[in-house]
Amino acid sequence: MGFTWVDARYFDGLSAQRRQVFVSLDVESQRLTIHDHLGADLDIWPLETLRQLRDDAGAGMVLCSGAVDPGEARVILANARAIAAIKAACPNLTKATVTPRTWGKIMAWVGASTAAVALMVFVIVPALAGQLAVFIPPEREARVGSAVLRQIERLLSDKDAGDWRCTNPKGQMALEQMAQALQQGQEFPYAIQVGVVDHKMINAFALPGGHIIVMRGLIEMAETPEQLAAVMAHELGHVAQKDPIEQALRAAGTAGLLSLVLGDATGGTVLALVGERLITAKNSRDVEARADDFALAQLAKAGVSPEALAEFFELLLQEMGDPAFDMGWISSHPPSVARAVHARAAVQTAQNYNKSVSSEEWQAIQQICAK
Amino acid sequence: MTDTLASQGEGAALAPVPLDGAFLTEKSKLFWLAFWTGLLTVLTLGIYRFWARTRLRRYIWSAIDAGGDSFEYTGMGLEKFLGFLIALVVLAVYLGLLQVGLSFIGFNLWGAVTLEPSGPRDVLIQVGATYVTGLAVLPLIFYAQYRSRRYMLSRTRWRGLRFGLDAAAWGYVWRALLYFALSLVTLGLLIPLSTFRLEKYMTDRMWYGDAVFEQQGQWWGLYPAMKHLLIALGVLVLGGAVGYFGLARGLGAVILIAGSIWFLCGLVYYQVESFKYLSAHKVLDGTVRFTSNASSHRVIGIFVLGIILIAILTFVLSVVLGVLIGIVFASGGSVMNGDGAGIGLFAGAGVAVALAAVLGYIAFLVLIGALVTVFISAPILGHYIDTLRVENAQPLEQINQRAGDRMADADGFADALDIGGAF
Ligand SMILES: [Zn+2]
Repeated sequence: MGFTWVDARYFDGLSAQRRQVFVSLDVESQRLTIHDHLGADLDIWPLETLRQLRDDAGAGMVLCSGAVDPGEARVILANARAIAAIKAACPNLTKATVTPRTWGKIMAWVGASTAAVALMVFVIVPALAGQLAVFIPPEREARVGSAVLRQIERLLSDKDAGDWRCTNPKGQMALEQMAQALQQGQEFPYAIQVGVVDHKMINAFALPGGHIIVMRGLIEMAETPEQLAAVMAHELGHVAQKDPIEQALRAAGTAGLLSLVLGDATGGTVLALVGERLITAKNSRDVEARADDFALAQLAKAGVSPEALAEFFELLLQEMGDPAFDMGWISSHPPSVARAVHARAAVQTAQNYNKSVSSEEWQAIQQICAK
Repeated sequence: MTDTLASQGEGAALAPVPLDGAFLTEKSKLFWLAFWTGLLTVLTLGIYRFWARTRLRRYIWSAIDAGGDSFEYTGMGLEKFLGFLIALVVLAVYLGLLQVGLSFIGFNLWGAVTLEPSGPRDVLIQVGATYVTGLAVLPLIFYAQYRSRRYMLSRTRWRGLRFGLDAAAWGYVWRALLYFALSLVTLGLLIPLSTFRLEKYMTDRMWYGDAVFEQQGQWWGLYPAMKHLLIALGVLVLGGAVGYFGLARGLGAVILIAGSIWFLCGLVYYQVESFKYLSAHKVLDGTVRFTSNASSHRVIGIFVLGIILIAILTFVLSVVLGVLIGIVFASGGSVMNGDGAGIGLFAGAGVAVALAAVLGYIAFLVLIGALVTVFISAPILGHYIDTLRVENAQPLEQINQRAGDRMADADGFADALDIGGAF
């Protein structure tokens, strides 16, 4: 249904002057006519070009001809019946016109930004971190390591300070002996310091500056001293490659890039965390393989069967799925059949392998956290 | 000659027509818009946020009325999304390189520090190393602030004419950095200088149609607005002294708490009073002036009332939700008590309950966001607008349209860096 001579306000989009006008809707000829206060035609808008300002607070219907921004002139209608008539007669009131060119531009920029983020996260930042890690002097790296160690100390010893480290002297000595044997033929710029933390988590890690931390849970899980030696040799591999400090630099570079993408939308933080986890997993595969190879070589030099590493991976594979495990070594070192097979391939049947430490010493290591 | 004089005399004789601002909004419509767009944002993993922002702005702008004509926001979600993508490319590269470089320097500096900081120099280096990343992002934040104001103004219309801001973001960046440093070094005593000069920089480049704004007044004119901040500082120092010298620990704590509350109110007071001063000294086209009668009491009142209201609403809702989840759990439990065949069913119910809990939690957070918009952000904006008056509106009629401002990157930098305030 059309209408004639309804009061409205009109802005020509050229000046700030407000004009009282009348509008008439003619459905048959498909047009809206705007008359000035004397009755002369001011403008004629075809109905299919009419656009409405959406999500308005209800002060009146704002109409323009063409897409919202380029259409300069505005008609503001307050009459409810006229508004209803226009809604019924105009097909494109809320249609947004997006040209194929705009879609092309959007697609291009989606591609460009995805490529930029991926390139940074997977190529540039890792390469840069690797290059720069070499230039950090060992004594400074050692200081960074000590600072990180203190941070961990603060984290673990929430109740009784100083109690977090296992210091049974016999066990410590045996552990150091084990580590010493694994360093044959390797030069480290700093002394390797091995320590055990009194925590049930099955985990071990290397910190910048040659600190290797083993958690009590991992010692308890190991069935033989050789398995512990295998894990330690792997961590020594990280130290030899300067992985910890490189990882710190890399983490700094990618930190926040994902939350940049996702925004502060509710739940975005969780997604960003998961994403960062995936990135480290992707980045660390090569690093882990190299640490494995280092471990196999050093185990062989120490006269310990590389099979121990395979055994330990198989042990982890069996225990996988236990939620208590998912937090520790498994999360950063996903055990796989492939890694176990690779380790087993390093075993030379012609060679006779020794025990890594005597059974008394192994007992002392197992008791290292006893008070 | 006499003719023009006469007509001028006639114009001057007309009493200046004031034009009052008004904020006309229905709480329920605003709530559903904020809640629905917030929910869509979560469900689309954040992608919808550009459209959500745009729709909310469209609503808020159209609720702002000046002299019977409402404002109009013509921004589009798609252009915001595009702007974000453009900003993302720049930021990913800049931030990635910057963070690696800075932490490299940081590690080298950190290494130079003895294990336990032995003097103020070591502490300073440590603190510096921690904050240097933040400082390196600061120029970008100021850049984004200016760009987003420019985008917002270029997409704002009133009586059909566009607002605008000159393209001068880098000039703003170095000034903002300078005033930021000055405020920091003087322990906040030069904050009025910073507030005034930065506002003047923006206002002097701001347009309505082809008419330019001008910020008049003096920076020290903002010192009266600092009144309550200074008093609060005095109270805090007093409380600290009372506690520190062991005169009365409890009394010291009470004074400290009172001082902190006073400080927060002082911040609001500064915001409101500086807005009033700056508005009173703004001129459009050399003749149009403005007055703001905003009241810091009202703003604080809206804050407190809003927080209490939201707290009550969320409490009631969480009780209802908790009861509902309890009922679902109980029914799930009864299935398990059946026989062996029920175990599979129970596992299904468990997943359903977990899913419902996660969805409920997310909806809850979105709800709180919407409530904050409806009961705090919008009413405060509304109060500023309701108390704003254009003193002589007649010259406005002579103003003409200005050309549009394309801005391909829209306010993408502000979106990526998560700055930009409530709307
Ligand atoms: Zn590893």
